[in-house]
Amino acid sequence: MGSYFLRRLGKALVILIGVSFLAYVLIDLAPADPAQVIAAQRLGGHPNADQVAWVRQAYGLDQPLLVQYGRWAQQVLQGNWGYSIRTGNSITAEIGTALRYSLTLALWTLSFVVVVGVALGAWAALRPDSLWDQLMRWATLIIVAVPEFWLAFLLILLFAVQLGWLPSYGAKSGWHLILPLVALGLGPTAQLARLTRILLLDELGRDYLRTARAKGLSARRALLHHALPNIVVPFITLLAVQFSALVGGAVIIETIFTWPGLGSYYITAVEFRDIPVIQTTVLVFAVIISSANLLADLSYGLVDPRIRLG
Amino acid sequence: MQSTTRVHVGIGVGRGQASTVTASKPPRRARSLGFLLTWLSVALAGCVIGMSLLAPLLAPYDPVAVDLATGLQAPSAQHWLGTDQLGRDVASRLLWAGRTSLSVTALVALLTVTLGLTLGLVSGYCGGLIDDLAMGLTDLFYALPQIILTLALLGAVGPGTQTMIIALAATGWMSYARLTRSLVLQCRSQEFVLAAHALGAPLRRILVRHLLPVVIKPVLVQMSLQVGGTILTIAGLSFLGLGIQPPTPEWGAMLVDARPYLATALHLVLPPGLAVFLIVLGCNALAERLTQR
Repeated sequence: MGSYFLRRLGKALVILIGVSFLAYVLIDLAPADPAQVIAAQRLGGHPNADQVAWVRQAYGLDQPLLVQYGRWAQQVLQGNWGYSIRTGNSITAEIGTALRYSLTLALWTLSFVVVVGVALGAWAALRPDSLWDQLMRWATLIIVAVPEFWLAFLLILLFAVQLGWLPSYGAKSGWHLILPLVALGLGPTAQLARLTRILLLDELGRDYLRTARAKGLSARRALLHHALPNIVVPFITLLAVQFSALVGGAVIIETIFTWPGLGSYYITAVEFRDIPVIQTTVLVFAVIISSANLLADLSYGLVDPRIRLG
Repeated sequence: MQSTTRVHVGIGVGRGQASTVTASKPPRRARSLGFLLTWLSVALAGCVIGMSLLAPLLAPYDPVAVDLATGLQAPSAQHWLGTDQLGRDVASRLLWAGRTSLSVTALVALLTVTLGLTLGLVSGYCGGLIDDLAMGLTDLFYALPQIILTLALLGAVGPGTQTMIIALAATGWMSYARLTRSLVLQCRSQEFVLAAHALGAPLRRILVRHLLPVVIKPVLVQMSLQVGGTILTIAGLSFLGLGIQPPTPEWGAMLVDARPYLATALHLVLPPGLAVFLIVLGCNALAERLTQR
């Protein structure tokens, strides 16, 4: 277990270093001269060639890329993430606030996805190939195909404009969470319901459960006490994938509902070509997703003692 | 239960992608219902695609002709789907938008498949350091959702159709590479490959003439799974104003234009979303059908 843990941690770190390098190299792709951009922002107006040259030297932009990357990485590790070109504020502080909102949305959505997804999947697995099962399979296929931003519009139209029950933008109270949560969570819920159903049907068809059923075990008990606990390992794998999809989807959903999370922060940065913010936010996204995957991989050994990690 | 359930959990099961998990075949009655619904959704998607491709013939108006005097009209005999805030005919824009979306999707799919196939074939057959590097690269690109990576590239280089296509291709090849590699690993030590090698066939010939025919079919099935997600991502990026740029009509861009009129002009909100939805549903239903075999 120990050596597996270290190896898995090492792999996650290598990936993060790779992502950070990718994020940093982005600067080289930008058509604008970073020295020019920084000079214009700091001095206001149009800086002359001397000023740009001074900035280039002062910020180390004349150094080789790898040296620049090394310096940047060192600063990031020290928690000094620089300043946003757009607002001039500390990126660390801005990301801290955004992260709180994002995690609130993500964790509530994830809970919703797991509870509803598993319930629907189990419900369908109890009556395979019935009309309800077929209906649910088609409902999930349909939901997965709906563009999430369109779904968000339809939800706003129905619940905010027509019925006036829920607010459609902002993040002032728990009520503000509901529409983004549904718009973001419906797709992953449908995916998870489908996958749970398949995994459960596979488990319910195994010999040990057929024997148990033949000896009089009720379908409900077979499902809840035998099949469900046994699908936890593949389920966690799927959950990690869905979590990653959720983080990606949140980018658009947060923008539509003006939820002040990491996703809308990222989009604003991309729109303004705010390179330092883009770099740091990409890295934060990578840390979040890598941690989730790491947690999933490490939890296998905990939930299934047969898996000897090592 | 007679038939055993086949479970194959795919790699990239994200939003908008059909899952690669398949179950046992349902009984005949349910199967015929499913069959009907599958082909219904495929036919609807085919209609949308066909009409989009025929946009130059079918579209009644110029999709970018602005006429402020007739702005925001409700659907009528003259304008079947009404007009938008600039007086442009929504029906014409919808059809032309489909042309844009579909050609961009096709291009992205072609590029990603080529990239993934090449990398997968080479890394699977050559093995060793090349394989380690290629798979490391795959893990690296899997560390983030495609939309976040694509946005990072668009943010650095600037918005635009060309940049978006390159960014989507650069961030979407991983599932093909993994699939191809795993298939190549299965057959690289089989007789037909060994024989070709023993006869002195060069690497390129082995890859293209002997291994490619083996992997191409599963890769195409994988493409059918992924293409729905690609369409959604393109619409999403254009919705954010970073993909296809105005005045070129695009479904996602049409939706974001419709946003201020959400409460008042349903004819601007419903058609673009419905078009995307029908195409993605058709793709996913077809993909599900293909993976059931």
